[in-house]
Amino acid sequence: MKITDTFRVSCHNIRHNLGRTALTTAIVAIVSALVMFLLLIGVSFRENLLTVARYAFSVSGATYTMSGAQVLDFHNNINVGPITEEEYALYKERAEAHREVCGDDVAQTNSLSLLESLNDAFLFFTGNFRGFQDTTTDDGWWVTPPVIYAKSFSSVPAGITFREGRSWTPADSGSNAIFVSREIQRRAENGGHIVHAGDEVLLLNLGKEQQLASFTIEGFFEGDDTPFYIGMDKLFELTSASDSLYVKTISMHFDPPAGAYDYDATYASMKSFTEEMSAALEQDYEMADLPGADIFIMLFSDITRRFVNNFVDQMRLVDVLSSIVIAVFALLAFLVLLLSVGSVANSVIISVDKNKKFFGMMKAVGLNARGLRGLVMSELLLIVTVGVLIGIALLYALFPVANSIIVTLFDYLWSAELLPFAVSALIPVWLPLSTVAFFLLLTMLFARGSIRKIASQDVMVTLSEVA
Amino acid sequence: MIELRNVNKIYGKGDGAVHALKDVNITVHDGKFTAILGKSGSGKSTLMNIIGALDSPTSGEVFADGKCLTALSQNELAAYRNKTTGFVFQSFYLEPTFTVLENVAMPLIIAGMKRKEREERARAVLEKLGLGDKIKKRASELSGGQKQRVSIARALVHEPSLVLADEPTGNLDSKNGSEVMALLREIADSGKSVVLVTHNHADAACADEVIFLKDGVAAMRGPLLPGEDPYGG
Ligand SMILES: Nc1ncnc2c1ncn2[C@@H]1O[C@H](COP(=O)(O)OP(=O)(O)OP(=O)(O)O)[C@@H](O)[C@H]1O
Ligand SMILES: [Mg+2]
Repeated sequence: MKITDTFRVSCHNIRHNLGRTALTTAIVAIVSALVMFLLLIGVSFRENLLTVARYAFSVSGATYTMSGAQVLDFHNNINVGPITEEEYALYKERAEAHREVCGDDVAQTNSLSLLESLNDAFLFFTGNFRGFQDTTTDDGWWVTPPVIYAKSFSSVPAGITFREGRSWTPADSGSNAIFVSREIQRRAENGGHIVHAGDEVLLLNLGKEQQLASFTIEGFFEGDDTPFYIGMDKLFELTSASDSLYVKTISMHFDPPAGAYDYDATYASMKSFTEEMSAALEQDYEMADLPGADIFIMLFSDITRRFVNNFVDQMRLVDVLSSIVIAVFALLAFLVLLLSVGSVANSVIISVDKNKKFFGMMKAVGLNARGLRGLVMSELLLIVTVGVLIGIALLYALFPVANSIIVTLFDYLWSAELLPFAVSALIPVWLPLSTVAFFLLLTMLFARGSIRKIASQDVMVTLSEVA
Repeated sequence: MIELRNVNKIYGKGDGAVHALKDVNITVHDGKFTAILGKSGSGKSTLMNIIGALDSPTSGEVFADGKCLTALSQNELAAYRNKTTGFVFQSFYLEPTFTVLENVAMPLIIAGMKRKEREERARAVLEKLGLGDKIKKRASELSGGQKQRVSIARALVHEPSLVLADEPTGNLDSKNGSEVMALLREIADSGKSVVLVTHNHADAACADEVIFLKDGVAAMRGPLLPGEDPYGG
């Protein structure tokens, strides 16, 4: 039987069973509208999340960073290597290929100057030590008291003796003068660093934002009995255990150009640059993987040898989040479909049953199982397609509802005044198509028993069941 | 030539089982008008359905021109029917919502014939049967005699070699009935095999050969003599 004839016969059957087929079409219309509504909300959620992310990007740009620290965990001897010269060269080389999102500034990174100064300067670390009372100065430094003496104490505590340099005076408050424990000096000497009063030192803060500043050593004091001693001691165990305790960070910023630009191309380029670089790096240390002491983890929480682009990372999060949302809505839609498909399948079964005489006659004059299935399928396809088309019309009627849901949600999360949140106005083609496909698939699955039965039985059985 | 060998048909199972055909061995010869004669419930329809490959025997074999029908699959049987056989039923089995033309063309639609060609052929057959003016009518709008002639047209449209008719005159008055009988005789004379199921001696008298059925047991013999009691008194 030709497909055109199959559909012609099905159309005829539908027209002459309007009561039943209209009801089924109505069910399909309502359910498909609901299903598509749910999927539309899911898809729109994603679209709007992307709007937010794009907006964030256009405002703040993207920062590329790669950091590495040469650190020896004194408990576990774990070495997170620094960024090597080769890696830096690689970075420059790859960045060349992505000039449009990297610009020409690759070499001009803060950290490289840090890198150079590290060679000469003796380095102290301050950090957020657990168990120690930290204070934050006005300009935002985390302060570990014994190191940045001048910044944190208004007077020198009793029992502290200066062995070299001068003692603290009120004028040192707020200046870049520091006073260092004698023990630190001794350990620095053990590590091959000779420090004297008057030396410039760099202080690196490895907290949230790495900060670096230069200080002058004004004096050394006997500090073994200070309550802060242990912290400094541990630090120096770290430093003295390795000559090369240093951190390197390559970092650069890309500002999206003002006015119109190709967002997708920009993002794709940033993404591939980021991925290429990450793949080229040896390892991506997740701090959680390192069985180090608390101190270690806290100190170096920002230090991985991963190449990071904050915007690409953010988009990855958007992807994951929106996939989850879409999955949840798709599941809901599937459930709705599943609940309703029974009634559609029933209508198919009834239709097969009601048409038994017709099918029996058709079989008597030579219709085979495939032809019979074709007739049932085409009738179903017509009903479902018309139903889904009506469903699309209903969906457009439900647009204001979907829109207010999305706007309310995103207005709550972000400001809708700032960004134009709306439901995706274009229903993606795959949405009705896959709804039709799912309906057909599920209905056939439910009704296949009765179709197979009538398709495979002897003609006379089909015909005699009518009487 | 259709040959039935040791054909049995049992409906149902267990206590309620009906042994409708018992070891039937008969032959339907090509180009002959064969009548299946018997009382109600003797198994005539069952036998005809098996001869026409509408039904399959519980045991035994059916050969059509040497081809074993009982070995064919449902789909192969459907193709066989679509090519080789035409049916006329007592209750017509026309599709009331389709036009006369569509009803008659149905075997050709199933065969996948082009619309123009099949409609031409259906129209030609209908005109031959004197229904040329009814082709656009719905089947439900026809009289019983017209319906039966339409169903005969449907049984002929694909030019089968075997036409089977199950009590085709059962729902017709005597005038229409004898018209249908004359038609069947004509078909047989045109070289096709015709199998007629009837409980009517007069109708069976038109046949070249008669298969007697009694409680599922079949016997073949030549034509009935005028006035002969086929059940042997
Ligand atoms: N589908 C069926 N299921 C069960 N029994 C059946 C079925 N069809 C026929 N029979 C039984 O088989 C026997 C023969 O039936 P069949 O219809 O062949 O008789 P028939 O000679 O055509 O009768 P009639 O002249 O009344 O049409 C009958 O006893 C009938 O009850
Ligand atoms: Mg009968």
